[in-house]
Amino acid sequence: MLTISNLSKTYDNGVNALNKVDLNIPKGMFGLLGPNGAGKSSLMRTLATLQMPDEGTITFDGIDAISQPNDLRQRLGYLPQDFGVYPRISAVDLLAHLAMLKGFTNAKQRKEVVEALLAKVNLFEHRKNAVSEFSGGMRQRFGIAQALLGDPDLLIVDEPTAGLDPEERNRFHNLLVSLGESKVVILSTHIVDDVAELCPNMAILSSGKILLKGNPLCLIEQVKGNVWKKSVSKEELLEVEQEFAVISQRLFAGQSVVHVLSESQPEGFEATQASLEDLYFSTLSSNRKTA
Amino acid sequence: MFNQIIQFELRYFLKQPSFYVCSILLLVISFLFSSTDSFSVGGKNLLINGSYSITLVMLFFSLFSMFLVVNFVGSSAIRNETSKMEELVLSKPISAVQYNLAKLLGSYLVVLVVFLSIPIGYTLGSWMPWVDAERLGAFSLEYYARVFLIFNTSTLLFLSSIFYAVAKRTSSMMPVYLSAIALLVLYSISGTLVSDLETRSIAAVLDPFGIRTFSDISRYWSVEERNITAIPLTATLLLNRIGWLVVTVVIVIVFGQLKLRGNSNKRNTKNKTKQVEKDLVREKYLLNVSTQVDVKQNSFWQVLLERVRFEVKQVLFTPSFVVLIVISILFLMMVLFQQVGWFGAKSIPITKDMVNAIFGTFSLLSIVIVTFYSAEVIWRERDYRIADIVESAPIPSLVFWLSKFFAVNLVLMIIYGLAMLFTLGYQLAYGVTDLQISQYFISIILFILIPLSMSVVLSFFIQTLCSNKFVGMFVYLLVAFSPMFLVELGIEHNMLIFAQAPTLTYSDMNGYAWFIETQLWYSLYWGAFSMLLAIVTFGMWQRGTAVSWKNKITQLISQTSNKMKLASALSIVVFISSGSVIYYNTTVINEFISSAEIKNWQEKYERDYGSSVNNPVPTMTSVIAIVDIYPAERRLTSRFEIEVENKSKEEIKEFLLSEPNFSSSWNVTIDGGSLKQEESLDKVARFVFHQPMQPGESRKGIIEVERHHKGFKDSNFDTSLVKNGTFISNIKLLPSFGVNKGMFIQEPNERKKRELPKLKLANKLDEHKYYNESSFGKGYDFIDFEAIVSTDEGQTAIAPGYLQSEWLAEGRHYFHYKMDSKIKNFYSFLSAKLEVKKASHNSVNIEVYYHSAHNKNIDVMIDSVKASLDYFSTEFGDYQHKQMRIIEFPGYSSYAQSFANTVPYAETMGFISEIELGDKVNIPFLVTAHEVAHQWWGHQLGAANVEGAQVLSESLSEYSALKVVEQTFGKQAMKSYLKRELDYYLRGRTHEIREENPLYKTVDQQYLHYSKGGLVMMSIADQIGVDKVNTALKSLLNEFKYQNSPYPTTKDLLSHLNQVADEKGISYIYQNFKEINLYELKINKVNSVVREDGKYLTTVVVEALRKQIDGKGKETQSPFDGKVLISAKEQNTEMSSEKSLVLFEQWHNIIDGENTLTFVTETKPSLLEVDPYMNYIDIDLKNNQLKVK
Repeated sequence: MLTISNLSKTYDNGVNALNKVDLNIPKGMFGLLGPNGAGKSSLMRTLATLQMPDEGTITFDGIDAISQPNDLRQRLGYLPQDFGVYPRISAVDLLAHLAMLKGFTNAKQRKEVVEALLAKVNLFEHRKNAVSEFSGGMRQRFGIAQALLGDPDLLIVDEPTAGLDPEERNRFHNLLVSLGESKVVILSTHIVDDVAELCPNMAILSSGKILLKGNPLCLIEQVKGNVWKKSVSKEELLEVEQEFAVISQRLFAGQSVVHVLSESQPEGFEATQASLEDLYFSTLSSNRKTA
Repeated sequence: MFNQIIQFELRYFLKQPSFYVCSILLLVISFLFSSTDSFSVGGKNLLINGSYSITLVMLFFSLFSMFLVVNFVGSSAIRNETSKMEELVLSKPISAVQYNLAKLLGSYLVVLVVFLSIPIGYTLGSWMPWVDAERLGAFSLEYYARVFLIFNTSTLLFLSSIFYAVAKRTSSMMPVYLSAIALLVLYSISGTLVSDLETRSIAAVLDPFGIRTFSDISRYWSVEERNITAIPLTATLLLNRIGWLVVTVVIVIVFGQLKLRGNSNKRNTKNKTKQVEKDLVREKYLLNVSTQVDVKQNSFWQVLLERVRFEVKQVLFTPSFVVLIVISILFLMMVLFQQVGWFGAKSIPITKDMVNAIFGTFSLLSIVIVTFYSAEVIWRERDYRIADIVESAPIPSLVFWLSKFFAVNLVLMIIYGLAMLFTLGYQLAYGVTDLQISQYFISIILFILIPLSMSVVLSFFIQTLCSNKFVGMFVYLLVAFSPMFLVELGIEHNMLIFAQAPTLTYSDMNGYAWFIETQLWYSLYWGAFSMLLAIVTFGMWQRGTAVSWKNKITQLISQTSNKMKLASALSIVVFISSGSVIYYNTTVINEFISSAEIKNWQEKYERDYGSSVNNPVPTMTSVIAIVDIYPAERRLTSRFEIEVENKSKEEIKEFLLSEPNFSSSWNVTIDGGSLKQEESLDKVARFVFHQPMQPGESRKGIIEVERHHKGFKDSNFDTSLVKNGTFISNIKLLPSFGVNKGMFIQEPNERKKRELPKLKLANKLDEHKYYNESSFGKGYDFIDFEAIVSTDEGQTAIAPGYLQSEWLAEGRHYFHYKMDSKIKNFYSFLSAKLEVKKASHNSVNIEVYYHSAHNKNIDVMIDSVKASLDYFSTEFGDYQHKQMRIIEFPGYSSYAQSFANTVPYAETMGFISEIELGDKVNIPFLVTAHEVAHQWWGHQLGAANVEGAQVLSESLSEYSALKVVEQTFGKQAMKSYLKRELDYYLRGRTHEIREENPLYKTVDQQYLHYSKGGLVMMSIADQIGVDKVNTALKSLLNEFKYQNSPYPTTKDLLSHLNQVADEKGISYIYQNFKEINLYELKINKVNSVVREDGKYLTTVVVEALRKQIDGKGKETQSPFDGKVLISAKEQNTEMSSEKSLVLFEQWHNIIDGENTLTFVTETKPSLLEVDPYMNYIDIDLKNNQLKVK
């Protein structure tokens, strides 16, 4: 449905944000994982027709995003990672304005959709307050509501759940999944669990390059049986790091638990269920080594 | 702690863009003030970096720095609240007084730092290479330091504390803005109340900005004084400054709200239960509504409308827009109330003047509006970080561009619309009923709003190219002010300066003339150019956050649709074709000469021919003119049958002629010679006699001149030959004989640049060889005159002389005029559609020809003519004509001129002057009398072509006119007339560029021969008796009536006056004509006691001083000795306290120093006054009177 080929972008300051990105994204949820500064937002903004690539093409359902940006915009819903709002305008007015821009020309229909969307993101009660006065979470929910305007076929959400409380986050995830049945939803995040829970397809982006793409379950298969864990003290940690390919370490009950990647079981380590997180970290660390 | 808070404030503002924007803005504006003429203050005769200019600029800016203070101090006061830092700060253990004072001082210091960019910019500007070196003195830091330390620091502290207090009290910026505006309103309104002499000194003490204080101190400073006098610490000044410092302290203590932890329990506790219940129901329903609605690609117009609605709301419903509206109206009010018409008389607010007031008020403000609002709307989405969301919406960039373009234009439309409503209201309040709404619309829309909309396009273009809002604003301002620099670079044609067109001059008589045609062509031309700019702008429109140049250009190329390409091509075609039309009209069929080319021509003319300036030329003695005027075609053909005489003592073999301006063809034939165009310089010809003209010989000749205007011009318009209101004098219409000194470069600095010697302004008084030459120049003498003038059927054509016959033929209206006595070789032809009012007075026909709408003052003029004819014929001798005509002509120039029995009066003058009641000066009456007096002084009495000639025409006419006023309105009424003359003289001398001459040697110095001349002649009449003065004038006239060999000079006037004067009178005449003296008369003490016989004995101590002054303003003390009038007034208890009766007026001999005088009266005097009729030129009139205790 969405085909990205050979997409490259270098900024004026020399940062190579996208480096020959090739992706083929079918209908359904698509997770884009990557650390900060990986180029996720650059890719998202390019898909959202907000910046032009230096090279490469983007085609969505037969629409060329570079020469026909407005046709793509017609079918696009976009939630930027970071956004602000006009001052002194209430949620319902601002959303109605954006709806108008999207093509809701029928006043009655517009009102109904705007209010329904506000209700869906749980902002109905606050609809008459200025969005600029909203708290971070509320503003994020407003952002979600506007991205859903016009029932877009291509929904691009950049770090959508930042600042949401767990309840709101669940609510939004359910919403996304229900939408994903019929359209392309691209979810950019650095939270591995979100992708694992929601996306049948994913890619890992780092330094502007696609390191890995595919179905999370299939991908996890690749590392299955190669991930081992061990609880270590602070002193031991250093030794382990030198000896093994450590993919992650976290604290559990005051002890560091390290995950390492190895084809055979290292001494003192026990086997553990490979997770998407292990895959993610191992991909990133191997990329760092080769770089 | 205290210091740290101050330092924090400073560091904070150093990081704010507004700090840099304001600094740069002030820097640029003050730079313009010193480096260009368009902005200069103080007067062009003053040194740019002299004390007075610097002080005035810095004071002026302290008024407008009010908004600087609002911005920095106001925002600082409430920053904690606005940035939600309040709770963080309030929870810290600090003293409220210390904290607030430190914040106030900190932000005040920031304001001072920003304010310093004014002296810096001003100094930098004065160092620019194009600045006239003549107008620069030595750099003096003291001048800047004085005004900064004495005035600016205290003014800004006052403003800071008042705005800090308001901001603290209200926790909001809006009231601060409003109070700033209120202050400005109060200030400007109070300005109109205190323009009087008496109230001026009160204003000087009360002015918080010190502007009126300084202007009171420096009002009559001479040029020299203005350049070098550092602000003196006078009592008034000290009182003013200390007073406001005390006020400042009081404000801080009483209103400063120096407490920290305030009352922030402003929770909204409205009962909303019902609403909430309803909401819940609705919400439940909504959750089940499907949002999967099919939307179509919306129509361009619908989305444009929505976006426009939105942009407009964003622009209009903001505090800053309200502030802008109020400021605009305020500016307009200031302009309207301070508008002074002709000769200081208020004008009736006719629509043309209202439109001009709007033009004037908003020309600069419009640039500011375009700059700020363009930046605001272009960057709004990015500033609020909503760009990604809005600009990923499926709407073309054109919609964004158009909606923003409309929003900015709407702001301008509202401002100008409100201005129009305001001036309309002003007109209605004044009782003007002929509102001419269409003129408002045409002038405002075609001449202002359309060009401004092009500026908006340009500003959008610049903002789109620049990667930063403030850089964009700065670049746009540079471009907006560039015309001033372009002129310096010789780029003058309006085709080369963005959105420019020939500047409109509207005339009630002649309407828009050619200006609508030019405006439409230039609008088309620049409109097409703007269209291209617009296409490029939205072709490069950034969606989302900033992108690089490279990307913008790629985008422009790749996303340009065929429609855009077509529109661009169309624009280019229109641009080129309209440009061709303009080029063809302005430079091919008409001549376009740049000012540099003109100066080059003038220089060559002077260098090639200057040496023959004294060569003799034939003098005209008789003229029969046949002039056919075709107003609709702007065409004129003329044929003059002339008789010339060689009045010189040498034979004339040849003489030079200069081509008359605007003529399409011309020729001169005189018997025995022929005309030849000069080869080395165009517009100059030489007439060569193959039979030289002998002295005393007369010959006949013919001059033919044709004018025909085709197409349109870019500048240098012929405003004398127009569709309605043609007015051409012979001097303008005919080729001038001999070398015309008026065509030399006059401006001293330009002469210096071109290494031309100093221009001799006038012949010296003792150069006898010029005594046979008229003050009009060589060859201008008394002539016999006859004319047949024809014009279109609907118009009246007028020339000097009596109408012999009048007939219609072939759709043309013919008039035959003939003069029965000799007139000066100075006449004019007029043609216009005019109403006429006729009157007859002692067998003299009085006719006033006027534009039908300008009918208010006709009777005043007729009354003035009657009174004048009576007075002059009784006192000076018969009126030489049987008719007196006043004719209105279009206001392309503003003067009244007296030709033989004909006085053309510009429409901008007496016809629309307001005649105010009370003791105000009746200007139309005075000026009409003055012009009538010229029939004697000027037309009967000539003047030799030497210094002082204008005394014989202007001073005597002004004196005569004042005497008519005195006869008509009484001696008491004269005080305001005399005060006006005195004030014009004293202010006029402060603007002198060269040096002040003694009155009898005046050279083109109007403040001398009009104001001082009139005043001094009136005083001489007081001193030696009006009968004696009039007898002297009569005998002068009798000696020189129509006399041309020799013509009289001021020496003749003085000898006639001296003959009738006593010794004191002769001394008075000497001091006032041959010297420059300033006197100081004052009453030091008055004491009145009841004597035993019930009468009152009043003792008065009068002090007298005399300062003799040289031309540059240097003063030396001289002894005072003269006759001075002392008057006493009695308070009339029955009438209002304003009115008083004159108890006595007595002449006394007063000598230098203190004089004690005593008077005995029946009743007690309440007020004593010395020299009530201003016989002695006295700068300080206030101390001339003293109340009796």
